[in-house]
Amino acid sequence: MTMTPTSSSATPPASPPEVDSRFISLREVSFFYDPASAAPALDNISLDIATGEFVALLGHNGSGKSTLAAHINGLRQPTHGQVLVAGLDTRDRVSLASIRELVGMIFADPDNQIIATVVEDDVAWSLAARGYPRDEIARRVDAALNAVSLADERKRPPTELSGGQRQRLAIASALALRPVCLVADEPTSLLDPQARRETLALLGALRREYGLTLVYVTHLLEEAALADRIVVLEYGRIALEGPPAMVLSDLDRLHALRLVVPEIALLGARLREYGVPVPYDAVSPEALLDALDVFRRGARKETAP
Amino acid sequence: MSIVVEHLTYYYARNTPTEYRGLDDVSLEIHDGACVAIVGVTGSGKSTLAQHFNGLLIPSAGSVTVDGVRIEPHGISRAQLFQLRQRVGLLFQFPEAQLFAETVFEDVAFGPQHQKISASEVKARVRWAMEAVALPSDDVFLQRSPFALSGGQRRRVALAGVLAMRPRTLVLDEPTAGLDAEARDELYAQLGRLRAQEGLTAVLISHDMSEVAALAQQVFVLANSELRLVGPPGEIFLRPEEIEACGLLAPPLAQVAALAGDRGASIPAGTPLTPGAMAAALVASTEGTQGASPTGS
Amino acid sequence: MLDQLPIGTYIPVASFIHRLRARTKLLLVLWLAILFFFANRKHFHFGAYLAGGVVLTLAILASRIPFPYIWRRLRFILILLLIGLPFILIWTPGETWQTFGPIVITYDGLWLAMSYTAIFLLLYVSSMLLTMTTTPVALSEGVVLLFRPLRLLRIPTEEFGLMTLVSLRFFPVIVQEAEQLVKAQVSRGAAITSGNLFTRIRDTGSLLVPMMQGALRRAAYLSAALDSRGYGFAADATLLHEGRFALRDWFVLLLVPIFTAALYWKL
Repeated sequence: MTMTPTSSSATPPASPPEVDSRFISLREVSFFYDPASAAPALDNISLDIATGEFVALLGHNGSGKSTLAAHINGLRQPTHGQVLVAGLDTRDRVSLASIRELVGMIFADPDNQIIATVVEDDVAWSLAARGYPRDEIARRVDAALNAVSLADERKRPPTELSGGQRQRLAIASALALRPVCLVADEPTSLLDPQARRETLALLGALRREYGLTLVYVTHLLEEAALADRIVVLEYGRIALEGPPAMVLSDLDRLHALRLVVPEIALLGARLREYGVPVPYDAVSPEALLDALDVFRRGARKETAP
Repeated sequence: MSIVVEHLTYYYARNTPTEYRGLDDVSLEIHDGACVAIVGVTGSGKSTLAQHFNGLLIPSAGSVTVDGVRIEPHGISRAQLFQLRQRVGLLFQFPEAQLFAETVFEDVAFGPQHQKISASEVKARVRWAMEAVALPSDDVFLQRSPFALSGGQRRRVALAGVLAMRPRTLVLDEPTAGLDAEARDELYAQLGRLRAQEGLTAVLISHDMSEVAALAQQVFVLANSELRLVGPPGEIFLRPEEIEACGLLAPPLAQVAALAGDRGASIPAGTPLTPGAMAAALVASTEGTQGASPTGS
Repeated sequence: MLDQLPIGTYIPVASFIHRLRARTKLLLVLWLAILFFFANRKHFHFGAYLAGGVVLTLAILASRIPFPYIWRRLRFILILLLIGLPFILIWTPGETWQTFGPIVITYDGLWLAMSYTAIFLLLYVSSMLLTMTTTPVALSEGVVLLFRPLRLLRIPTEEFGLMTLVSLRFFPVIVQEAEQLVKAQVSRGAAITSGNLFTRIRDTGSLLVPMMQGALRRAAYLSAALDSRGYGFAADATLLHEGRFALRDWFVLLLVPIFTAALYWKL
């Protein structure tokens, strides 16, 4: 007896789905790696993520951010509490099949995600493993490779690709299932600097074009600052939560949370002391200089005869 | 101890159809007691270069002279190589993956035990090395299994294993890979202390310019197996387009300085790339007056 | 570095052998293996091995893979053989053929040395050809299909496919990790690639645990990735490469066994 693929896969959404403010809902989630230990990896976490939102999970190593991310697609199940994805409970094995199509996940090391030795085979693999028909597979592979700009490399072995390209392949393979949400667990941490930039840009583009919900795990403030909302974790609890401008306005607090504030944010803070209107969430050279331009125009007005 | 590299060229898989050039005519000099960085993207040749410093790789052409010992395509003996590996300690990326022994002591002692020293000297070295990496050096801790330790602790045990051989030069290949910002700062602080105490020469291999900026006195930028840029970090950071051409990124503050210049808000050439100095300089460039001061906050 | 690998990695070429189904090639390798071991019993009858040699030579030609490419990878196995052969020659009991001082070589010993060499080489080349002309995904699909009848016995044959795929996909990676590990331990003064035999064996022990750890760690990450990609919910995976047998598959599947069996009987 064969299982048929879930119906949501047969007719993929052509446009972004309706906004559901509790698309992903973690309700009083606690998680213990070791049932006997007293220290939870996640301690009574409640968090809602809306469709189309870009949420950054920020924290030092060991803060629980990766554990939290693993709960979103049901890789881990809560010891206490509940994780719901579009109303489906991650502890329910039958629902997991659908949840894995709604929520895709990519990790730091592309080499531990790539299963095939030809680019297009890897993208096709998860579709084949779920029993999709061949013509649908072909269509989706084309779409996914185009979305990440790897169509020209489709016949090549992943070993010939650069680190950044391999991570793009991992993203394409995750996109093949047409997820509504993508969870990215420190996807840039092993990449060269320019590949890092490209990966972030790609994820941003995918959000804009497909309305992809993005949950991005990082320990870097400058990456988290790109999100709609930052959730800062410490010792398995949510220590701070809010839009980047708010989270980044309290540098002392961030220091207490063992997060290293990037120099560019410190430069922004110093400029603010001079009255330059640098937004709290400005972490790019462009943003800083834009603020400086505003400041200069204001200063000129004052000194004009 | 100094390292002199002269016209070093290295071929992988020599004389086979898959032969490719890992290094192309690289020449550089690392002075005794210096702290330098070799920077480049994956595949630029930086790890290949580093592996010549302790004789893991022998040049295909050219030479590498380490502490007076000249390594050329032919004519270096095994004994000489062994000597070399005691004087130059090389720590690979993700060194915690190379731990194998049943106890921390055994793993750290692995290196010294290959050197012709007494058992008590080995113990003393192990203790010293553990203290150097800020780990406990008591017997209880030393008898623990390395696999019972946290990732960060294991990395330090691996570093201790290299330090226990008392090298004069330390070569660290991407030592902060996988660490968060806090752990990274700790590692570099530790390295700074070690250098101050022991006068070690340090060679940092990385793909992150900003990271090595604080520690390195001299930066060597590799791209496509060639040496492209050489100089102190401050100087190199003034050339962000060249840095980007090598596949790297200049530190964010250097990028701000460069962009400021492009947008007509240039800051004076010698401005230190620190938040305080740059903020003052940027504001000064807008007002056209010197000595602008921050408004009270 | 990696080009010394004993198992050949896939070489994308359009050839007759490449176009054969994975199952066809798997079945033929299996046939040859069975035939060679049976033929071992008929002492000093080379028919089967000769036939095997002919078949494989033709296969190499038909695959359009250059002979030097295959030859270079044979060197490694030849060294192993040269080490092992003297033991077989000297220590096999039976009727004496020749004596060289205290060393006695028997007829059986002579035959086994010859036949084992032939078997080793021929099977080695055939598995190299197999992996060079068939992508790992195709091979894993072939394995799954061939084992499918075992599903009646409640054996999880779909997992065999994944195991095959993962082994082939990660074999070069593991080799590279091993190389890196050797470098790390050699940097600490270990004698693995040089030095006296005793210390080399002792120091090689420093590789086993990290290799195992590395493999387990990788397996953990990979299974998280595969789970995330929805693996494990459908009973029958769609075939990306395998399909119905074409005429050439039947042709080869009939011709090779008949040819080799005939030579086995006749010679």
